[in-house]
Amino acid sequence: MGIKIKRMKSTKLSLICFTLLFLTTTAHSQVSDSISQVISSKVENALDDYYKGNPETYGMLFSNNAVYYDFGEAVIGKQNIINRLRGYPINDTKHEVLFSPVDKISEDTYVVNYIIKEETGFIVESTEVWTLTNGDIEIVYARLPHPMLFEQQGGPAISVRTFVLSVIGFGLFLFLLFVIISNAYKYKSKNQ
Amino acid sequence: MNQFHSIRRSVRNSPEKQFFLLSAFWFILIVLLGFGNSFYFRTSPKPLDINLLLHGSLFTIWILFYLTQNILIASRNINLHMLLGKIGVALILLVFISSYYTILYKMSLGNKPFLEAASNLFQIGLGVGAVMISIVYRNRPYFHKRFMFAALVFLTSAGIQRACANLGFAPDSSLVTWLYFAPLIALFLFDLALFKKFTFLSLGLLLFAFLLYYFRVYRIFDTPFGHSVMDLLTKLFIW
Repeated sequence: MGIKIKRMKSTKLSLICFTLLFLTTTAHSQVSDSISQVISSKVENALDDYYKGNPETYGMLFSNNAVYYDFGEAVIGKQNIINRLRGYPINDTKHEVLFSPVDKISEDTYVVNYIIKEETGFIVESTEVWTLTNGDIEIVYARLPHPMLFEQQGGPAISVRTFVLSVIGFGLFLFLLFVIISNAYKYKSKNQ
Repeated sequence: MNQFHSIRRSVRNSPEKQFFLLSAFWFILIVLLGFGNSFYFRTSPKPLDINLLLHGSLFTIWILFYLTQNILIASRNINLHMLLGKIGVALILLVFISSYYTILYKMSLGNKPFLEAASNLFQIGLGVGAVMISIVYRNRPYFHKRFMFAALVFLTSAGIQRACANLGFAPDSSLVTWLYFAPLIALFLFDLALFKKFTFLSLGLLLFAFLLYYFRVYRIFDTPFGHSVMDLLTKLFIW
């Protein structure tokens, strides 16, 4: 009888342990998923407003002591970051945000990486560090999104139209310059 | 129509007029590529600040003024060119004041990084300085034209970075360097072809710009002395 009770106890204990382990792992992945969703929705909403000509909205995602690197200069503090972002000339632009999986690097710190594709074909990559503080999640570090010259598939980052027009424009200038320099070479001034 | 034919004949017979006329279109192209999306073809629903509107308008007038002066020279309207030149002195002073005000104002609001502001102020200062030298040499066309050309190179340097960014290149990409030096290299090659020898001025201007660029001389603003100069300028321009 005693052995039966002991066996039951150990089976129940194992069951409880497995259940706890299962619940813990499930709960952990659920937290990660919800955090990923919270972050991506915050970023998407801010970028929607950003591309409507309000770049300062993105600054609202930063924590009070956040650091934002802008052309190698550290802009420290939420208000300073908002002020810096206000200086960006942003036009009304259609865009798409492609998120990489969020990485958890400590108990409450996450690294987020995403690519923004603008309608013109311009592509930028952004990396941010987010921290969970007092139930709210904020950016503590980010840098100016870096323009990507080529997509992974090897296509150009700028639109075909801009590229063709630029090549024609610069080509025309080079051609005219060549003609003018050859004219100059053949030119004999009255004094010569 | 006759005027057009006269310009055409005059330009056809003078490679120098061809070169400087082409340069005006180059600077217009750089300004359009650089500031097209933020100023000329702006689609942002947010209106531009009045100081930016004024600065952009004055700068546009200045670039068109350079084109007009080249056309007047090409059409041999020297008297009108000289008369407009007097207006040009006032115009460049307005460009200088509006540029310094805009840069310092944006920096004081935290909209512009310190070093970017320093670089912009430095280039504008150089450009206005070159215009002044060009005015001093107004009776010596060879010097007058080349200093004015160099002035436009310095004055449009901010447009080059933006043009490259708009084309999808990073602000520190080599395209920025090439586009900055392209007009001065072209001037040097042109003078070499025209005079069949190295000319001191075009080579000197190219070397001068190269040394300033290579040593990032504007970083002098990032010293205690430079910071005090920046503070003084901010007090002078932003009340």
